[in-house]
Amino acid sequence: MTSAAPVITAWETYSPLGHGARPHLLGLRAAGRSAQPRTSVPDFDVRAILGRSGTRSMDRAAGLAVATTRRLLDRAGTADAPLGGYAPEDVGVVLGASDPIQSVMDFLRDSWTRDKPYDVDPSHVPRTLMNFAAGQCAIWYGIRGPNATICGSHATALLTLNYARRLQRNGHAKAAIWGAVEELSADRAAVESARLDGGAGRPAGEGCVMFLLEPAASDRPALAEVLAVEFGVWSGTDQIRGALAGCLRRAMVRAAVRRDEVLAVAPLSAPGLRGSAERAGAADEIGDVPVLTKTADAIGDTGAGSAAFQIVELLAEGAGSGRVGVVTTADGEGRVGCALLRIY
Amino acid sequence: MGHDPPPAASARRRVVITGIGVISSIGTGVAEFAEGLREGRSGARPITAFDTAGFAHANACGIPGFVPERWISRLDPAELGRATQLSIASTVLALRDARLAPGRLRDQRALVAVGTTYGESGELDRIVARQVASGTRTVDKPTAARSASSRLSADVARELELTQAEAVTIPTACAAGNYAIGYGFDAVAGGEADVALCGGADALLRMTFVTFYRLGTIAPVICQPFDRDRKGILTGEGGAMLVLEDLDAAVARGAHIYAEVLGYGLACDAHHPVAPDQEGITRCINQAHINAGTAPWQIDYISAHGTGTKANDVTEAAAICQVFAGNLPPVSSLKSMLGHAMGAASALAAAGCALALENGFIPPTINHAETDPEIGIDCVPNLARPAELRVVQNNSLAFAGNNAVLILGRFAAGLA
Repeated sequence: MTSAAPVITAWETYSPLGHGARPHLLGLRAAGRSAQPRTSVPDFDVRAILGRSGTRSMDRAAGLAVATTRRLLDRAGTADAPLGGYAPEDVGVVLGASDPIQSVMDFLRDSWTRDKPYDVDPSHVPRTLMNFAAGQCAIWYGIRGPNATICGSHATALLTLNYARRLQRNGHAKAAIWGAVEELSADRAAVESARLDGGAGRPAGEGCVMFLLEPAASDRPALAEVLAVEFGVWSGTDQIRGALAGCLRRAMVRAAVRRDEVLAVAPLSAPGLRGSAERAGAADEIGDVPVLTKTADAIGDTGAGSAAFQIVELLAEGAGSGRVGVVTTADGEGRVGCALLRIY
Repeated sequence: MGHDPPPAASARRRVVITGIGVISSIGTGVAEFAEGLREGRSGARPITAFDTAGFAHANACGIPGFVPERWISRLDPAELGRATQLSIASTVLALRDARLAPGRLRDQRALVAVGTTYGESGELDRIVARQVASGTRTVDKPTAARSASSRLSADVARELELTQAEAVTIPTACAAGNYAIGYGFDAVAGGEADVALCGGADALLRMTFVTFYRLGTIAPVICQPFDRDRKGILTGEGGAMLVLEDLDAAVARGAHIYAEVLGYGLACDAHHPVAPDQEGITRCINQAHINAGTAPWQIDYISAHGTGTKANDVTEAAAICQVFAGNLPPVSSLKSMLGHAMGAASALAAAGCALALENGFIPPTINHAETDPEIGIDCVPNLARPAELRVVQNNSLAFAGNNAVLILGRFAAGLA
């Protein structure tokens, strides 16, 4: 096992605020000025962005993931060293994702409405599987190390970070391209809206963020060091506050981080009780620190991608500080989670 | 094992399997499942889980008489999809088998990792069926609530009130069980979890059947891996969860130890969304051995992915022959008995491997008449074989080129 904490050395995105890290950060700076959060990645036409070849049977989530991976590789690699200097076998891909609701329901609609129940398009089979997008990232860029897909509601991106961290820590990959994706589609919006138990949610949003995780000894300057990732579980909403505070406490102890080192916290900020309990739990453990909410203000609910966008906001806010940024989440299924990042 | 451990392994803790929970088409619980494997029992039967009108043939390996209320007490089974029910029920079985009361785990660092292929897509099918029947786009709320595959892991932790759990669903298709067990291994070996509850679950779904029927890969009656007349897969279902603990902790509490997890490997074909690739499989097997600190010659038995399709069996056998040239151990496919339980498949097979190590037998490849001449392996046809196994290998391959290979070893004092 490698003992030194791994580092995030690059990130890229397609977000409702634009194509790439720069427009996303500019959009975050202007957050709060528009009344409504933006929900869809503007002008994201998979075929226009990735070309006509190999994109015919892609769903939007795979398109976003492949396009974001390309941006990340453009940022971290060169023509001579396309995967940031790593051999294809040494790089893992770990993608957080949710159920491909639109692809599955389209596929099933064909089965229910055509003459025969099996009269479905076989070329649409791969995209009905949750691991399709991660596999596409590997195929498009020849990334042959471990390829994994991770799923866990709003905790997805933190679970994905932890998976990538353990891959690297346990010698399965030297570096990992990890991140999370969510697509906005009519069926996903309808299903997610039906899942909400009465209370209003943020409008469904979409986007993808991909990060490069490398060993501490990387030549590239670190944007952040991954100090700890922790989780917990609650059964009733009255337990969220305590569950998150306990989760943060374990993370702080494990990483030997003091309260006064914490720069800011970036919560999921779900509407209603869950969001207020999340903030209260964080405050219980780390005290009165700035709470970052530009992401929640500026873009819709990016589901599986949400914590990845929260990390991006922390990286931007804390750049150059050398202090610790905290990401928290409390999903609707019983998970709480946090990550501690020392931001450079 | 007589080999220098790889650098990555030098600091890690030893990890053992102390509990097995299985709900399958050939038996529920360790004893029934082991007996089924040893007898070469077939789980194939006509499908009753959904209407099969319009299909020329409709056999599958469903679980007869699964009653979730038997195992699930805190959560309401009516609020859970079938894959989630299987995930929870097999975990409850595994903990009972491990003689671990959930209360004892409540404040331990636990990893709950559940692999799946289709997760709760069956609930999405219910939504679509109702929409089509009613001519509306109405989404039923309780069905929508059940339809998230992320719940397969979260609800295990909620049912057992594991307050410090990391609950993750790993949807890496038909290799997902091995992925989840590998992840549990890393978490415990690295000292980051006290216990890992890991494996896989998938329900028998109309969607799965439609998919593989359309691809022309469903066998009409039985599944015959490696046979020259093999006709494809039978879809199946199941839940298989393992309890993994640090060896010292397991010994300290007097736990029964089925087997030791020696390591695992992952590799991606990066080649084709659905077709298997020999190079990717051989690389994955080699990765697993590097990680486990074993060598191919030490392997006494391989549990193959062995789906029974033309493409899988030839490609997988070629990869095995390439790695094991001159040292080819017996290779069998549990899918001949269990059908293809998708994300649960490699977890069921891992449970089978642990039971084979413990009980000294090799599970057979049933329904076997004549081995395909293109497949030069001993597939342990039809009858289980007594064997003193020391180290075994569990293969899994998946769409998206997601390969995962797990290595288990017999645990006995002085062996390792």
